[in-house]
Amino acid sequence: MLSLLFFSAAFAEPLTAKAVANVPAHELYASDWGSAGEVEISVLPQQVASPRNMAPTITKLKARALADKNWVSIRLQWDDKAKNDSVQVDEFTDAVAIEFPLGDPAMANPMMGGANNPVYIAHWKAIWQRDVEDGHTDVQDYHPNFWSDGYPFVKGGWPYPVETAFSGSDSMRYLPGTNAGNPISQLDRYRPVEELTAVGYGTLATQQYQDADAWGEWKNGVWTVIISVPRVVVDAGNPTFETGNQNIAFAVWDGGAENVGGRKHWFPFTPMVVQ
Amino acid sequence: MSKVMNWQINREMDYPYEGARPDKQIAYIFDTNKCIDCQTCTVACKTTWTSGKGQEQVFYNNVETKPYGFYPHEWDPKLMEILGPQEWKGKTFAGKTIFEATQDGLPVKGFLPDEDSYASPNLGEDVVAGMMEQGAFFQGIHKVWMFYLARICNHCTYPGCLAACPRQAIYKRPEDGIVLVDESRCRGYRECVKACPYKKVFFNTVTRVSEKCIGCFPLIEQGEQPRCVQTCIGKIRLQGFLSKPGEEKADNPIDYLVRIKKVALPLYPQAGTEPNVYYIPPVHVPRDFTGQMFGPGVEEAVATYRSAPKDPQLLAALLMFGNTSRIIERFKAEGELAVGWDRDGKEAVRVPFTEPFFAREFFDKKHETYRHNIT
Ligand code: SF4
Ligand code: SF4
Repeated sequence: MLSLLFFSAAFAEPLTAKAVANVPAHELYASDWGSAGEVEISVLPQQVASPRNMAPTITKLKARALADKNWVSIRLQWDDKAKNDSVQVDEFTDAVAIEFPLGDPAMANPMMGGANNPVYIAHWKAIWQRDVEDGHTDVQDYHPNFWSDGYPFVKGGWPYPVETAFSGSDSMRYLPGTNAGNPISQLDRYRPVEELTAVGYGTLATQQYQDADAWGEWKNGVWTVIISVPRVVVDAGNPTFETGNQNIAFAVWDGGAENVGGRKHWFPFTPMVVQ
Repeated sequence: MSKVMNWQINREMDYPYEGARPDKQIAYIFDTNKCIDCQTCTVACKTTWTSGKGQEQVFYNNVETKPYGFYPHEWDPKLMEILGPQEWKGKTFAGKTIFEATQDGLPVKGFLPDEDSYASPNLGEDVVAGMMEQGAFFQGIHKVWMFYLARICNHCTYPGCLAACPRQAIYKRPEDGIVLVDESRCRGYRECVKACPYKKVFFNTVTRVSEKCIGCFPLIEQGEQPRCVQTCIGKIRLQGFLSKPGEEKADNPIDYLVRIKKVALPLYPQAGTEPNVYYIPPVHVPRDFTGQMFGPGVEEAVATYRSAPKDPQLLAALLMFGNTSRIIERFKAEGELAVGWDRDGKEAVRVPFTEPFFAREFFDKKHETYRHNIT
């Protein structure tokens, strides 16, 4: 009974992805969203696995869903008094994620899945939204008056924007994460969402093919984010959305409260209906 | 939590992983009495590894003036503060390590420095411990003290950074004990930055992942000492390998100085990570300060160090510092000479105990001028 409670939960009315001709994937406040039923999710602080979120700051996530023949889109809204879309040693980004089982839905563990029951995660990050809109955040964005004597093998002139000045392979060696191909360190970003697969704690991995789409905005203390997942792709790492029932889980991070990784708010798998 | 043996605190302690000592452990000895704070090591490291964008505040090597110099700011007073008052009972640490004082189910107790803590890499440089009395400087030896503490990652036997990473993106190489961040796996959670008691994992704001000293492993693999060691102007540094406890070799200079003569001590051993940079403590600094910093062996270490002129074997080991780029695996005193060999058995050092001394005439007859420097 306990494990059932832990793995899944249900709302009075399941989240229903209402059929529309074309999902307004980047139109955060389009009227179609108003016509989709809203589900209120009481998220919980993640306190099952270390590192835990011991000081929860988010209690509710509101979700609506739409579907057309190519996409299933989920719009998520939550209160967050501060927009956190920068990353420095003591600054963390706001973020939200949806999760779908890839194996047996009854056995899928929402905490990063398991060896026989992997999970698919689409993770939107506020800092990636900023990257897409304004370019990769750079040293001069955080410290406009910074000075450095110089950087080896760079192109162009001061302040040597990383996106252009470090494109050569010699200079790139001085951006270790980027040079190692780490998706977190990628400099040219086209979408603010990352598709991942996990088969247990510590196994979260970026998918080779990135098929999801997302868009988000912080306005008057509320984040509104749409995450869209293709219904069918030739990618074994993605779920397939037939018309009918699905399971979905949620997670949300408050960067201002140092939420990152496992320090998050979450909600287990819950039924969703795709029209 | 597993139980592992930490010889520096003379007891078993909790650690999230099974104890697995590497075949040989990279280790360094820094003689604090010889450091002149020239920062050549810092620059050598910076130009080699961290001169990219986002690395402006990343110093795998830094040299800070104690007691008021820190990088990042106040890293060690804050460490002492979060651990609280702790006690040594003789050579055994009776307090709690960072793995034992944990809360909220975390594997390590730590803290995350704020961005401003990294703003001044050499804050407190040359600041002394107290006020000098009027005229004290001219009246001989005075009591006001400071010393330079050169710092790199300690390539700990039980790394806090590794223990804290929920992704296992940090690993310790079994062949030499070097601790590395897998730059392709890290997701920038900063659990390691929080957990390292020495604050020697850095967060890169451009790549958004963590980085740390790599022990110059491409050099180590060729039997060469790291850049910070090779370039040290003050010849304060020696890098080599420490054998497993109980397997010490008297002709390995690191084993000899650390485990046999106990003249070089770990930094804040009470944190429990078994750090592998060993310091010859400053001889002139009050023992309550150095005792807190280097543990209960300070008095003996200083006495042993002072005895070096009369101890040919100890003197020979100390003369391995800064005289070759090769990693010295074996050394010995041969008469009035110190000789060292590398891993291939090739002689890499041969230095006299006493350097030849030449004195020139004060008055240079040829140029009809007085010399400023005659030795
Ligand atoms: S000094 Fe810090 S970064 Fe280096 S191995 Fe130890 S815990 Fe890790
Ligand atoms: S190069 Fe040597 S003497 Fe100079 S600051 Fe570094 S450790 Fe000290």
